[in-house]
Amino acid sequence: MTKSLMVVCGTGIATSTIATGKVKEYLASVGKTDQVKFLQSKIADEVSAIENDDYDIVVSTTMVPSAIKDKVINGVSLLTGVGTQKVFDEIEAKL
Amino acid sequence: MLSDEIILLDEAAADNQEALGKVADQMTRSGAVKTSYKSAVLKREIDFPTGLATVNIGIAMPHTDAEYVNYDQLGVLRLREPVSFFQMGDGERIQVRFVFMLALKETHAQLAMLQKLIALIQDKASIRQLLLAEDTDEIIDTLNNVGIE
Repeated sequence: MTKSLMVVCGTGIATSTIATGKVKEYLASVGKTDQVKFLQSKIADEVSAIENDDYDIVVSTTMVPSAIKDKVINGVSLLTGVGTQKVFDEIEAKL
Repeated sequence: MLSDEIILLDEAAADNQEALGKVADQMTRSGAVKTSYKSAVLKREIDFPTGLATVNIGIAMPHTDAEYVNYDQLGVLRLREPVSFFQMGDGERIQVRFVFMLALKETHAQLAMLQKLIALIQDKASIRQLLLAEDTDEIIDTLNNVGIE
């Protein structure tokens, strides 16, 4: 079954675009692109949806409210290049 | 992205808000952004910090909503002394030497450019070139070499 993967950042403009690109690249390399439907937004618009478990997987490049922290994968590594594989592993574990 | 040649070299800034203000002022003057951009990008940095600690260097990538932007532009600031920023995602305090301020007219656009920018900040040789560049032309050459134009 296809899983929904929401990538959020502060503005929904820049870093979520990069993070989405990195995740797509990785999933393509392991042949799992078709298992995921990609979505992108800004955190302010998504807090309640994330709280309600509207998405199967959530990756964030920005700080999220503590109430939803446990539901969100920290995706900053996708931007710094430090510890990237750990993020990919966390995503794959949810597929 | 570099048409207005907004490259500020070895500026001093007391804190990150002053650093960001200097780049935003230039972008406003060139016409790339609206006069409301500066206060929006400064506030955004407080709410959603944009510092990134790569293996090589601390950078910041400030930006804000497309409604404050007239046309796509990248502003570069090299700080004389590192300035304290907070990191995206975890809010840790990091020391920043380079600010890459983005003015993006469309949401989700410019993926290729953003990916090149991210590849650049992760590349030791390019960062070294940016740190040692003696004038704005050398900065622009380095950016052009990695495909940011």
